Amino acid sequence: MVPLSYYLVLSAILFSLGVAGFIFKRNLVTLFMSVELMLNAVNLSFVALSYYFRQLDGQIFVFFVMVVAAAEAAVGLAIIISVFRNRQTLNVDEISRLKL
Amino acid sequence: MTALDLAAILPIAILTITAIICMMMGTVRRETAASLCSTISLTGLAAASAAVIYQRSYSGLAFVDTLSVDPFARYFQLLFLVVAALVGLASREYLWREGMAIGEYYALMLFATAGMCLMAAANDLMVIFIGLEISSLSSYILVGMRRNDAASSESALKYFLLGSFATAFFLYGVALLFGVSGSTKLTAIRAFLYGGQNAIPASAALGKNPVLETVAMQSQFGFTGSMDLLLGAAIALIFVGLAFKISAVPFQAWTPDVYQGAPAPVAAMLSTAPKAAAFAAFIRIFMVSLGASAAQWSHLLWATALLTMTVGNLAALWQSNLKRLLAYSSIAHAGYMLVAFTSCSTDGITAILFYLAGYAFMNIGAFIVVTHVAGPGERLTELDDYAGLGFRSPALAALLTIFMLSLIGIPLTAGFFGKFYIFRAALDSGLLWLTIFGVLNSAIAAYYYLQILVAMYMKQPIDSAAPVADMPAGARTVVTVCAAATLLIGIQPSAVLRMAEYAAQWLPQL
Amino acid sequence: MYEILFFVFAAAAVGFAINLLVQRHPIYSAISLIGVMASLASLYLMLGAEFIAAVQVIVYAGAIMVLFVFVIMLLNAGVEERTNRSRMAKQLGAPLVVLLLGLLTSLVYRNFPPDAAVRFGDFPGQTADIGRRLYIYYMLPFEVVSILILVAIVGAVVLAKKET
Repeated sequence: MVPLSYYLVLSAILFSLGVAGFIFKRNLVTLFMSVELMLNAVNLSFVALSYYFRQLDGQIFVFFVMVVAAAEAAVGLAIIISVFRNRQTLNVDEISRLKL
Repeated sequence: MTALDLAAILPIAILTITAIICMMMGTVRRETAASLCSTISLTGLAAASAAVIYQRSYSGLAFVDTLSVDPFARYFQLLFLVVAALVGLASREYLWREGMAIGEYYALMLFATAGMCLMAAANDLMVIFIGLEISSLSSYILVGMRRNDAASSESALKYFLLGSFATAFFLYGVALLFGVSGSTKLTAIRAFLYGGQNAIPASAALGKNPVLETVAMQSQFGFTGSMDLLLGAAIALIFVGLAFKISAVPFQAWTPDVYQGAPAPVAAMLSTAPKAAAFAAFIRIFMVSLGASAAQWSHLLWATALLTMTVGNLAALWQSNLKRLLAYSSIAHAGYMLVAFTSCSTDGITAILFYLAGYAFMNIGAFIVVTHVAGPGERLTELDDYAGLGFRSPALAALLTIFMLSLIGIPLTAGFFGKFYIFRAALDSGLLWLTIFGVLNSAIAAYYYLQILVAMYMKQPIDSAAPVADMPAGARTVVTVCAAATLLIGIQPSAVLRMAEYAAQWLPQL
Repeated sequence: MYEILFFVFAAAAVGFAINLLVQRHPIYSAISLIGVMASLASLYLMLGAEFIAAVQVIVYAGAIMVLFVFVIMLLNAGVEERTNRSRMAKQLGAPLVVLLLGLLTSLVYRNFPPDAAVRFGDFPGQTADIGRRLYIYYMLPFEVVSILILVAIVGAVVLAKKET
């Protein structure tokens, strides 16, 4: 017997860690992995809430998030490869346009 | 599948099929591919528009409440189709000139349009999310399509990373909203928040459900305080996700870099259609399902509108690159539309819809002129390159003048009535300060648009400036249509206004 | 027993996620992310979501992460160097992340009913029910997502293919 809110707190912690990774990491691939971590955190929330409401819509949403994540990964990694061809680096700070 | 389902999906199906046909044109020789693809996509867009108009005799929710057939969706869908047609026609010669993949370009543009059509008509956050992703992924690829240009792929990367970061926030917001209401259907969330009914349809519940009973009990007593906080968090997170897409401050950092690095016709599309699609989703989510807590989010909108206008205009003052300048100006224009949104009234929504239509014509026109002046490789995009354009190429300069005057909001152009309706709606809702700031901002904006006119008509051309080539047929047609539409809407706004009003009236009142 | 399992997997997920942040070489980060995903898959099982747990392992940890590892190897990504700007990002970003963490966790912890507990094997949904719901009630998103996959294929080919 674990309270539902524990699952949601775990999801919030993982989401925040993903945000932290996006801000602090310098490697493009790791940056993108942090976004994947955030999506995983959201998925945990959906599955837990699906359990809470005793219905499947949350799980179906997770299914679609996974499909979208797969498509996003394909496009994102292709973009990273095409940047690498032009710049020969994966460090965010050396890619001029990414400076905020 | 009922007739309603078919009518709802028909425009999207036509767009998808046309896109697949365009993709196959990659096998055709390059010389013929460009004109063939643009002809095919124009035909497909025309057929899709016919399908949208055919929808008029239907209304209601299709596909088990996931897609809505209504005037609001139709207005936006027609807008996306027109934008896609203009951009597609204008980029015909551009693609050839820049050596880009032709079939794939048209296919992705049509896929993006299909995604946006889906977003505008969705009645389920799941469908909004998928539509958003279809249009965003296509846009990321389109931005990065000039692969040999470092700027192009870098801006694609920036757009992609920040875009997927924002999408994660949007999704977290959806998850919390699901946690509050138990559904992702917009109409079901509305029914729940307006107190009453449980959002979980009987068909969804599995077996005996103790939770449902507690939820039902809670809602009998109206909102508990804890729900309000969670709902607030959900609204804030969804707001972040969508604010990124309309490039509202403080989520605007990507806009200038992406527009500058993207192929110019793609930038023309990004500044109009996906922004309009994000507004459609924004308005639908907030007005349809979150209307009950308008008191919470209207403050958020007020602040965002003010910041977006001001930051966009002030930053535009310092730009010397035309593509960056237009990017900042598009941020500022999103700010004006947010002013109208803040009023939360039918008039305000009408004003946004009207503004989006007028803005699409003037902004695409301006971007296409900039594309042409920039020349091969898009090298001439600085303000200095426009010195003496009025003497070197009077027709082009005259057209750009029309677009700039419309962006300022001079009477007899579409921009004037757009701003007029926005500020009137804001005043009617008692947003006096926001209106004052908006008018002040329009005055600031006049400065940087006029700077371009001054460069064109009052400066001597640089000696080394190459003469501007004649505009190719496709782009010329588009620019002429845009200029004519800008003036026509500016002189006789009633036709577009009536359509916008009809669309806005469909939305539930707050 | 159930509580112990939850805390083990939750701790594993958080531990792997922190390791993702701490590691300097992207390949170690990728492996940590696979660890997070595996721990989450176990948590999904405990929540009665067998289908999602299986898909999590097959699609997420399997297909998507293999793509990541493949790209890291292809580009021969080395240890990330710390540049000056990242120190600035740390100063600006750290309070922001802490604020987000505090807000989200406290909000979620306090506002969901504390009496709603998760009991193993208490979820009536089956994989067959997901299929039925997907094909009857969510047919539109299911069909439309194919456009998205087509876009991804076209995009990957257009962006990453060799010059002709």
